[in-house]
Amino acid sequence: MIVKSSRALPRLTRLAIPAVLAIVAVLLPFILPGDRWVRVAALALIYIALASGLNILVGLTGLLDLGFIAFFIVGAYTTAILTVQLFVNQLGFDPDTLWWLFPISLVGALVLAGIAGCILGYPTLRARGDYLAIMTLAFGEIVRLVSINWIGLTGGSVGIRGIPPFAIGDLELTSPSANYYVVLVMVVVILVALAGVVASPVGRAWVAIREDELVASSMGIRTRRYKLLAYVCGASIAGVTGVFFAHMQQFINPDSFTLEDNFIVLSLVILGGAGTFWGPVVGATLWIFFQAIARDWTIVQEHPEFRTGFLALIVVVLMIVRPGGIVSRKLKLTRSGGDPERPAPRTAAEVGEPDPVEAGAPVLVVDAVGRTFGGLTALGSVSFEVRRGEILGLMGPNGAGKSTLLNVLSGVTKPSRGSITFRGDRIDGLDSDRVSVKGVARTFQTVRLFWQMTVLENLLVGAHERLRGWVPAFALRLPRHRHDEARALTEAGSVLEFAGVWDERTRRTSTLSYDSQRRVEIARALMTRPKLLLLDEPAAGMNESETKALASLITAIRDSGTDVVLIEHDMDLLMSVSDRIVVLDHGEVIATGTPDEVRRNPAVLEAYLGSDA
Amino acid sequence: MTQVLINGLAVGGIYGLLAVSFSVVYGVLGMVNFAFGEVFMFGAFGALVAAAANTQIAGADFAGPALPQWAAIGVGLVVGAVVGLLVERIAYKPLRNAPILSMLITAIAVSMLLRAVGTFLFGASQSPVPAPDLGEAFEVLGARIQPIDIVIFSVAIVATGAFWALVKFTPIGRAIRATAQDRDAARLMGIGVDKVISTTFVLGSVMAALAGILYSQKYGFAAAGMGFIPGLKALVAAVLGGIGSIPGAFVGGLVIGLTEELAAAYVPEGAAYRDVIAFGVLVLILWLRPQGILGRREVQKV
Amino acid sequence: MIRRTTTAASLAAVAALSLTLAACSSSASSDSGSGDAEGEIALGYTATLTGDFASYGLEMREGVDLAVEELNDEGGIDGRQVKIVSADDEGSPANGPVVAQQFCDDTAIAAVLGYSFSSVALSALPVYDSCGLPIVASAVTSPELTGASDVFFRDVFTDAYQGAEMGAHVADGGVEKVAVLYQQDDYGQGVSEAFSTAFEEAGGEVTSSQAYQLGAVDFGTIVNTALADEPDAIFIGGFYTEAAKIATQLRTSGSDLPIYGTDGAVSPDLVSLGGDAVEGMTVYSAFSAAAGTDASSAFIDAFTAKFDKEPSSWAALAYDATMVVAEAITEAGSTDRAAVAEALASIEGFGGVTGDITFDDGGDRLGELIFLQVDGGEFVAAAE
Repeated sequence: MIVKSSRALPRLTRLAIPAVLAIVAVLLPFILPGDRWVRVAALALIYIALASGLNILVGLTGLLDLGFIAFFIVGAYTTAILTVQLFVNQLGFDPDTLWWLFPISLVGALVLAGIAGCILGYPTLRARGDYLAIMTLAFGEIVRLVSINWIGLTGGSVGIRGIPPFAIGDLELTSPSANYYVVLVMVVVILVALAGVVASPVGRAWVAIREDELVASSMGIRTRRYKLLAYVCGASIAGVTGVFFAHMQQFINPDSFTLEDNFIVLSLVILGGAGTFWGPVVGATLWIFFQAIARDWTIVQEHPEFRTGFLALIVVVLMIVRPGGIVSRKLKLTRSGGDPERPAPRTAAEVGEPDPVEAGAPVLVVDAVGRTFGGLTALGSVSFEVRRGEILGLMGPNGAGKSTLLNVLSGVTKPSRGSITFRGDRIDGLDSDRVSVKGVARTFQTVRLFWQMTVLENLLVGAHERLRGWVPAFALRLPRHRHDEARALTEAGSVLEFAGVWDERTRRTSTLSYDSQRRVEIARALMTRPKLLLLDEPAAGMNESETKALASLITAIRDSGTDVVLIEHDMDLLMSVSDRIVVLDHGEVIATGTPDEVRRNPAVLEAYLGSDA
Repeated sequence: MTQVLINGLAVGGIYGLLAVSFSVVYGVLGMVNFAFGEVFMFGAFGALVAAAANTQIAGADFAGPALPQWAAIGVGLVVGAVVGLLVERIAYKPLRNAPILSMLITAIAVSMLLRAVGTFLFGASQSPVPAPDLGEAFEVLGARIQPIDIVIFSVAIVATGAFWALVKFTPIGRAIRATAQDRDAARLMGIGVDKVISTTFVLGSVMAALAGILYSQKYGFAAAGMGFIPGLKALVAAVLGGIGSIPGAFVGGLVIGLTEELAAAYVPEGAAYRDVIAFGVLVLILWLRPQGILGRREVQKV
Repeated sequence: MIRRTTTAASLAAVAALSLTLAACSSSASSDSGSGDAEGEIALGYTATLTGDFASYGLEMREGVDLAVEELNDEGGIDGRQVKIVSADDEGSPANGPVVAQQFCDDTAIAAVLGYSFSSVALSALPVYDSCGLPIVASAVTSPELTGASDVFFRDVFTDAYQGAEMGAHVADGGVEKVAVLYQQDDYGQGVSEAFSTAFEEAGGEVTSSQAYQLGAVDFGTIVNTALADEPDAIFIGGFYTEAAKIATQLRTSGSDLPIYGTDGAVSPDLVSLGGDAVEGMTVYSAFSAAAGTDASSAFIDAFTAKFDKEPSSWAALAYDATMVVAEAITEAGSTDRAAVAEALASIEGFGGVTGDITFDDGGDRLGELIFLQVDGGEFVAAAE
């Protein structure tokens, strides 16, 4: 009962603010004191859409785009060229009868801007973050300058005039209020679709990439593909907005799109709150109205630079004192209620699915794997195997190559030579997201959680591979996905219960104790339903009793059907839980065997206790 | 042809100087300080105001100090250095440990802010800068060479060389390189990292201001928005050269300068498309060599 | 804790929004009635009054202010005082419809003056069309505006007309080969195309035609290319900022060819930026204080008395535009917008300080240019 009502209530409060905003938006033309302000409001809507689109890149995915306006230009020119240059000038249609062309322009702009997003996004995926920023800037300038100079197509600086206004049949929607409502419909559709996509595996993947790209890919997320997708989605929104802008203005030319607009839209995202849903809306509204009001002030009339200067100053100050922007309301990353019912404690028998591989048979075969960095050999030629149903301990002194080996196994680093076979498939050379999908999950030496997400959301990222789907389906909020999310959430609940952190499920991971963070990280890895789990020093920094509890969790993981490779410095833990141990030194395997055998191995003793050389 | 190459080298020398500023600050701080374009502008105005007998600041008339040219240039450099230092102290220092995205955004905002301040102080329109008296142009190999171009190119080379030597051979240079390589390790070694970063900013700003002064002398004007496009070009140059490398940045500047001039001369409608070509070269090179012309491939750290 | 602050922040945002709206209403209430039906007559004035290209707008405003002062001193139009409602378009086409709507909403406004940029005017026209408010512009020269709207008039000549006149003038002066450099925008393109066509029709040869970006600073290479064909003269179709630099770089490259410019180069800043290099440069304008006619000398005196400087051609054109509108309102006998528009269309031979003003069917003005030359740092009438 209590659970039920507490689930319904957040939903209501969540809807309250959008509802208020929607009512204000609908009534606005009646509240505003004149059509001039209605036109200002329509312009604000355009900027809201642009800022929301850019927010996908900058806020959600953490990709800086300084050439975002280019997509807006593509959209606006698409409709202008199609409608005016082609249909009116070339084919001789009467512009008043072309209202049916609008949806076609819209689709065309969506596609073309999306393609432009691909073209821009693709090479930037190879470049580093800061290069990327400069590259987007360059790309944006190229598009803008081409629109100025390709006179035959774009009309050059003269631009394109006579773009028909919004219309349905013979009914022309030219009045300021009609314009406003048409653009409002666009913004609402964009925001609703965007909310759907954000609260889906796609949105979580974006945020995961922003938070920690490497971890995201270890969860089975194809990070490059999702970054590209972010560009395509952002670009499409800008493209669509461009179409509406062109028909609203009935005229476009390059003066409408300046280089500085890129920075202004970016500042609006930051001002409102990057990575929040309402931030761009608030930022854009405040700025456009401020700008319009300030136009009447004497000080601004004398010094117009005060306005952009003021905006820039706010951004500088915000970045220091409140980097989150005005709105700090957390993003909703899942459409399901967010709080599953407490599951019954799970037992090993329940979870284990029938496994075709017999107990004791090798599942992971590492054969003569080596890795060289520059001239430095981190791994010489390492061979060992992990068998079905075991915990394999991996030990060795500092610099022995344990972490490199784990990175090679999980696909973070490619081996220079040798082969790795997992359940019959070669996995060397696969990217870490593919390795994850094959059933190999990992944790990290220092805890790497998505700190801005709750525990449950972290776990849902782990379920990415099972939940992923087509973006339009998420945008349309098909009920199937809500159902899938709910199921995944229930599963997440039972994994948390299993890992002993059920009580922390709704907390932000950054607020958890260290021990809980470790457990959540393991739980998140388990959400990928791995057949093999690689644990990188999970007990580091834990006290004795926490370590003991961890040991039983690791054993339970093995018993529930997931094989474990455990790297650990804590000898007691390693010796107590490992079925077998592989000892690494100077990038070579120096011993393999049961804990007892290894303990007595002279080579191991020498490596640990012998000369430091 | 010779003429085009000489034009390209002079323009490229200015880009190169500014690119060195971007590059060296990127080296120690790992961030692109977009505001160097505005330091460039403040340097030019510093020298202009210092040399003028009477001047207008923020709409009010002032009697200028009317310093001789060499002293005015010194004032310009100091103004640039002060602006650079203030920006670092006020805007960037609090963000030392913030994500790179925050620093980039701050840098862009600082650049917008400084441009607004420049517009407020010096007005929106271009202020004429008297041409320095360097004597008549002379002919070499059928090309007519302006003395100012020779001055620009030599100053650019000497300044970049001196800067490179400073970073390479002096104690502060060693501290800068250590900080660039690993800030935490440098701190453990007893290097005052904050001081090193500030010093780097000041040195970079002096280079940027120098570039701005040369630019205003060559083209005969100074304006609040003058640093914006050269800043972008220099950034492109720094990236081309492999950001973080001083010789790379300078070579990148020359490449951009030459490409632009060659394009303007030999590509149809090249003058109108010159910026497209400069930016296109960037996109192309980053596609082929994401680490830049002289840059090294970075190893991913896990 | 977190939950609470987020909600608070959201509420703060909404509160800020409503505050914004409240602020709108208070500041807007003042501009929805700038005069009563039988009280003052309001004229809208909009141009780019701020930023890099504010000078045209500010100079036009001076002409408008002088005209309004003179009208009011003589008892206004039909006994009603005239006032100006000013709005800055910031040179941004996105602002065009917003400003136009502001004027349309204000029922006291009978006509609109100004406009610095053709693109801003073009973006505003659909709004003016819908409310029937007539415009008499003074600085927008794009041929695109010809016939673009029934309510649009201008007392400045179009680029096409001016360029053609200049082409014929240069050819008449005995120049046979010209290298053309033009600003890559509607202004530069339009004026240079018209120039080249007229010049070639008159038997001249255009040796090369090169575009440059507005805001460009380095012309070394395109100047070289232009000189490579050994022309007799250089024509620059662009604003004074670039024209001054082209002239400087032309002179430092050792050429002393005559330079021809356009009305976009007519600014005191041409001389301050270009110095000796622009000495002798020939440009044209619809008006020149130096080449004063009888009709204009009274205006020049009044202007100099009021602003302590000589009027620019933009000031003169805007002065004339204001006077034409006053004439049209008097003709129409009311401030009814449609009637004023109709009266404007039928204005014929109105004696302005820039010459006689008649609008053709496209709203363009028919008339004659004045050619000017830089002499001793001043614009003076060019020797015939």
